[in-house]
Amino acid sequence: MIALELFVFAAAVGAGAFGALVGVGGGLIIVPMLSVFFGVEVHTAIGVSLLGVIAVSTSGAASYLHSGFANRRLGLTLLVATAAGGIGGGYVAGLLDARALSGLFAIVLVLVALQMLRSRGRPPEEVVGEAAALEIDASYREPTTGETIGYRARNVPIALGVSVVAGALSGLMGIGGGVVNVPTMNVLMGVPIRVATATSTFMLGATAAASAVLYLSRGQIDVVLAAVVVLGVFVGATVGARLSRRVPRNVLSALFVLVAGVFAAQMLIRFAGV
Amino acid sequence: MREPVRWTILALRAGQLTAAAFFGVALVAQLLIQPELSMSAATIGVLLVIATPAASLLATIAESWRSDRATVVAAILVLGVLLVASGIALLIGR
Repeated sequence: MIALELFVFAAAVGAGAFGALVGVGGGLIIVPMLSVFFGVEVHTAIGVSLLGVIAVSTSGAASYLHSGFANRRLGLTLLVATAAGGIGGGYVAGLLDARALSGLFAIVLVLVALQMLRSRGRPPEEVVGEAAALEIDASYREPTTGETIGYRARNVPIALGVSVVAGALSGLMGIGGGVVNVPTMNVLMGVPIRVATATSTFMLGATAAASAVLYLSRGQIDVVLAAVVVLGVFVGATVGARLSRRVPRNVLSALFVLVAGVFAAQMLIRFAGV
Repeated sequence: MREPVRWTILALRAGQLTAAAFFGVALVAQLLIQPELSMSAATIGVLLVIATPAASLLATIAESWRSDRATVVAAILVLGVLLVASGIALLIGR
């Protein structure tokens, strides 16, 4: 029994580190790890995973806010839309064909991932003039080069629309917010990948917390198992956030593209009805 | 000028550390075959984990109140939406 818990702890450390690194929360690893390898009932696995996602966000966000990578204002702005979409949009999304949505989402994800691959070596667009009404100007110190990089978060209204849809879809398809947050910020808004992954990590906790309340109220969280997972994630996410400073930007992009590919594959499997 | 984040970081770290402490007690209690203590400590840890994002939003509101009203408004909206979502989730869950 202790050996099993040690395995779960070690896996959670890895999930936390990876989740904090690419801004996706780690659920991609935690849920299959618990349900497939350790035979945990899937709803319980999801409930525990949600706590893991909050833990990734809590640990990672503290480090990323301290280092200046996470843009809190940008994250909160998008969170308003995502959270609102999660409440209201879920009813609309429920009227649509889940399989078709999965297929569509997979295609969009692949296209976005290709775009990220194409642009991963490119520096962010130069900030010129004053920011328009909803645009957000900020800067961060790139740790691999030491240079201060200014950036402008653009296309905010479109990004808010995407976030509403993402919030609505996440409840229907059980997808994590990070897989939408990161490309929304990086590809659509022109935010550097390091800021996008860090800000996404900051955002995840709030949305996961609302879902976790539901699972807890239904008794679908094994609290002792959650203790093991969350402790592991706390360790991993703290390490992952610090490790991210040594990871070059193009590698961060490539890692995210890998995650997007796995998500797209899952969505295609769902579309195929397997 | 960089946005103030000290209190937000403090709230996140405090939530993390106190939850970790209760989870540690839970696991030690489990090893000592004290299932009731283990469950109680783990449950408190879970509640702390869930409450930490809300606590960090409150900290953000407090520390940004004078300097960044846009962030304050966004944080209040997020907190409000999350409270509504949690309320709906609890109602549906029953």
